[in-house]
Parts: sequence; C-alpha cells; structure tokens
Amino acid sequence: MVQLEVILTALGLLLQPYTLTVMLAAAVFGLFVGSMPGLTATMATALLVPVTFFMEPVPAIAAIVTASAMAIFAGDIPGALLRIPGTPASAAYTDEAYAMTRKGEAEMALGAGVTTSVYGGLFGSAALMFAAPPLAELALKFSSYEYFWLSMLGLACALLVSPGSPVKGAISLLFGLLLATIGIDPMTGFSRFTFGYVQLLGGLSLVPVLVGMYAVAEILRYATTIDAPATLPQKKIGNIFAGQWRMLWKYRWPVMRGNITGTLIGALPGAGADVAAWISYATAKRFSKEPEKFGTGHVEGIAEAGAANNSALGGAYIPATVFGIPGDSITAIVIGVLYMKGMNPGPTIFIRNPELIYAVFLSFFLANLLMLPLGWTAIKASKQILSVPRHTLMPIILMFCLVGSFAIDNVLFAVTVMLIMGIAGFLMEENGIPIAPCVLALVLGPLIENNFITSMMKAEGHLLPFFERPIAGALGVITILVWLTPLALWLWRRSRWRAAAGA
Amino acid sequence: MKFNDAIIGIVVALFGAAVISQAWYFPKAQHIPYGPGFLPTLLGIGLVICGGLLVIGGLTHRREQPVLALGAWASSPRHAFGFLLVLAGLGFYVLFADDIGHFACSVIILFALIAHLSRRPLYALAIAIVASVAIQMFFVEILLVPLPWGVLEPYSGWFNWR
Repeated sequence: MVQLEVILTALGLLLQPYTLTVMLAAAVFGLFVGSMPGLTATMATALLVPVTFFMEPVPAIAAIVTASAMAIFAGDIPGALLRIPGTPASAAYTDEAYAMTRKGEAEMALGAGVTTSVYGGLFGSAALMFAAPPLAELALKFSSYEYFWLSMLGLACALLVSPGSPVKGAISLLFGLLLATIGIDPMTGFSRFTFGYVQLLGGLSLVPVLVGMYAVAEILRYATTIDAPATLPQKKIGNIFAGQWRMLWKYRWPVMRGNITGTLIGALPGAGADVAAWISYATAKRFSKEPEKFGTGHVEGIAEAGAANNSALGGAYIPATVFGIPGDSITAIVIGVLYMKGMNPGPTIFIRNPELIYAVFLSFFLANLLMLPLGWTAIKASKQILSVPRHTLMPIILMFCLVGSFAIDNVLFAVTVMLIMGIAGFLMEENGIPIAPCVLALVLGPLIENNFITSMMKAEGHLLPFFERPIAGALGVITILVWLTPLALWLWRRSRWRAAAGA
Repeated sequence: MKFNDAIIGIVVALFGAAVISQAWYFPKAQHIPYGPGFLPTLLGIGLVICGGLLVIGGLTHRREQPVLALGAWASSPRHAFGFLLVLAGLGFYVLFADDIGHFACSVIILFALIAHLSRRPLYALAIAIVASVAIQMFFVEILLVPLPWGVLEPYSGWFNWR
C-alpha cells in the first residue's frame, strides 16, 4: 500500500515553481506541435528530449507527459477545422469531426475533443496510479525468463498492430533489433557493427535516431509535398463548452468504454493512442443505438475515441515504468530518458525512488487538468496557430533537430546518424514500411538479447526452463500465440480467397 | 519514391546476407552456443526470409506496381530541389560546423531553405538571422550546449550576456 507520506513528498516535488513553469512551457509546445498537421506527439517528445536532458528527473518527465498529452488532444483541432489530423491519434475521427464543422457544429466537435480528452486522460492516469504499484510488486519476482517473454510479447504486439503488410512490419522490426546490436556486446565485450567508429562503441544514441526518423523524415516529406495548403474556414468559434455536460452524460457508457479500451490498448506493449482511437471509433459505431448517423457528423464516435486516445497515454506508462517495456513509441523515448536520469525503469524504482515515480504519476493528473483551460485557449487561437507559415517553421524545426541531436553527446557524429536515419525513415514510410516497430525494437533489443543470454546461461542451454516457472510459462504461451496470429490470419484469408477463387 | 516490392525485397535480402556474413566472423562464446553473433545471424536470416517474401509478392504484382514510382515531386524541379536541399543542408553542417562554427552554418542553412520554400530572399535572411540568434541563446546560454564556434570563436563573446 502506498503511504500518504510518499504521495505528499511527490506532490511537493511536482509543485515547485520551476517544474510548473516547465510544464506550462511544455504544454504550449505540445499544443502547438499537436495542432500543426504533420508534427506528431511522438515528434514533440523526441524534440523535447535534448531540452529535458538538462533538467532534474521530475520536471524532465513531467514536461514530456504534458507535451504528449496536449499534442494528442491538439491533433483534434486541425482535424475538425481542416479535415487534416494534427497527429495520427486523431485520424480515426477526423472525417466525422469535419462533417460536424460543416454542419455548423464545430464548437461541439472541438468541445468534445477537450472534455473527453481530459476525462480519458484522468482515467488513464488513475489506472496508471492504481495498477502500476501492485504490478511492480508482482514484477519483483520476475527473473530473466519472464523479462525475456515480456519483451518478446512487446515485439509481437508491435507487429500485430502495425498497419499494412505484416512482412514490411517484420522488416522494420528486424531492422530496429539490428540497430540495437550496434556497439559493444555486453557478454563478451566484442564490438559489433561499429566499422571502426569509436562513437558507435556505446551503441546508437536513441535521440538522433528518433529525431531523424520522426522529424527529419517529416521535413523531407514536407519539402516534397505538392498539394496546396488547406484554408481555414473564416467563421469565428463560439463557446466550446456549451452542452458538454449533457453530451458526456448522454454518452457516458461509450466514453467509459473508450476510457477502458484506451487504457488497455495503451498498456499493451507496442500499441498506442492511434490504435486505441481506431478501435474505439469502431466499437462506438458497432454498439451505437444510431450507427447510421456515423460519418454524417455525429459526436458519439468522437467522444469515445477522443477519450480512448488520451487514456492510452497513461496506460502506456504502466508497462514502461513497471517493466521498462514501452507501451507505445512515446514511452519508448521516455524509457530512454528515465535511464539517462538514473531512474532505471523496473519494479525496483517503486521501492528505491517511490516519490519520483509518484511525482511522474501526479504530473499526469496535473497535465490533464491543465488541458481544460489551455485547450480552450488553443482552440481560440487556432486560427493564428494554423496560419504560421510552414515554409518558415519547417527549416527552424530542422535546426532544432540538428542542435538537439548534437546536444546529447556533443558530437557531430550524432548529426550524421540523424541524417542517415532521416533518409531511412523517409524511404521506409514512402514504401509502406512502418517506423514504430523499428523504434520499439531498438528499445527492446538489448532487453531481449541480455535476458535471453542470461536465461540460457542459467538453463545451461536448455529451452525447457523458459516455461517451467508459472508466470514465465503463461507469458511464453501467450507470446507464441500472439506471434502466430498474423500467420494464422494470413492462412485463413488465403484459404478463403482460394475457396472464393475456386467457386 | 516508391519502389516495387521486389526491389525492396532484394535490397533487404542482400542486407540480411551481408549481416550474416559479418556476424559469421564474430567470436564464439565460451560455454554456450549463443555468442555475440547469435542474434545478428538470426536477424539476418529473418531479413533474408522477409526480403524473399517481398520479392515473390512484388513479382506477382509487377503488372500493377512499377519498378519505381517516383511520386509527383520528383518531376517538379522545385520539389526535387527542396528535397535535396534539406539533405545538402544537413551534410553541409556535418562537414563544416567544426570549421565555420554552428552560428554561421545555421544562418546559411536556414536562409537557403526558407528562401527556397517561401521564395522571399529578404524575408528568409531576416528570419534566418533572428532564428539563429534565438537558437544560439536558448541552447548555448540557457542549456549550455557547447556548440562549435569555428572561425567565429573571437566573436563568441557577443552572445555572452552573463
């Protein structure tokens, strides 16, 4: 049981003027990035890392939590106004929100975005706060076998939810794992794939890779975009909070379902806010009393999916803090930051630094409460935000990427890594190879390899001990099933296709 | 820049094969058969298999999928140039930041990119200088990142307002 004392200390850590200022600045940054189409919540996080590098652990993580929560919400703004999702997490209901705007209900669509985001975010935070400590208790008993299976499960889920062709998802995954093997092998001290570069001995730095894949690739995509920018509707936005209580009450069950789905999908390693939103939008339609209204500007789906994508954010921190296994691409970055700050994720952090981890949890609540006034402001200012010229913004972001990558190790080599990863990310996206599995694999790679070798040494080369402990056995079976699912689905589709072709 | 799946497959498979051939020479572990080369070899095999699957898929769909679909931007010189300019800017930084310093690089890269994208050179110059000073202030003075000064070292004091 958590002592009140710890929570109070944590609250004291969080409610410092410095931390609060940082959170406020991060909120503004997150709202801006989220509402710019093409700049995602993951990118906001990646760009923040070099800045948080110079902070104490609590403000650093609180900044990331705040920026990502704001960005996920702010993605709804251009979705409703321009029919362009600001972040992938809003893509599921962009058409619906835009249809509402065309019907003259932009206030309702945007208001639902704010209120359900806050509600979902608070639900996710509460779930994190209550689920993480008992899980950590359980995780204390885990050995290398359980960790091996958990990280394999993370990889499997990343592959299962990756959009498009599973083969291309697998290529991305393998590429990420391979990038993770660069540097000195911890078991033998042999340096792998360093090609004589001293800078690679310690492995690839996460930040240049992420900034390259998410930000530089996006700038390249912007430079090659032919389409003319969308124009804003001229109408002034009225009171977004009008009728929100009634809406939340009317759709209390769908929104609650969105909260729960979002948290669970967020907690699932590999799947994040965007997947949660798609699934919740689909369940909202499936279980709605008036499914025929979906797609014509109906708020029900927006409410459920809007709650889901923000609750997923909290959910994703459950495996990240308890096991050190990222729940989505944002927490993949957060885990890197936690290591940099000496707050190594894992069950022991709940024993060694409970006040730090609780301060992180509390920052979730604060960030989501801040969203109410700041979200309102962002919507009011949306016209100004969306008219910032991209031709000026994108080069400045590129310069931020450059300096940010440099700042992690203070070497120009990092800029080279960022450049290469930017080209790789651009080519991957262009060819339908998703980036998220690669990033998750990069974080999970060392965990998998080290736990596998450790387990193998303990088991003296036998495979059976991987299944002998009850939790390890169950996790192993689940992992293998999840790994086999895409294959089974593929075979099933193929046989149906054959049957259809034969008939 | 969308390639036919068969082309990607071949590249991926060759990459996998190269990884395997490298990992082959990694030392073996003492007591267990899983040394530093074990995981890379496994990943290499995976890449070869996935590449092979893509080749098969790409060949069966080769009628619908061209060998290389460049995208509309490649035939628009403006956009193709923009693409190259981003890469050239980064390359320029890597090559020259140590010599001419971060600040000069920043002004040059920002000016080139904004001038190209906005087509307004004077505006671009003004933004490039203002943004470079702001970035310098934020990262060097507040966050204390030791960005290289290069030949501008004697003037570095201009920004030092402490």
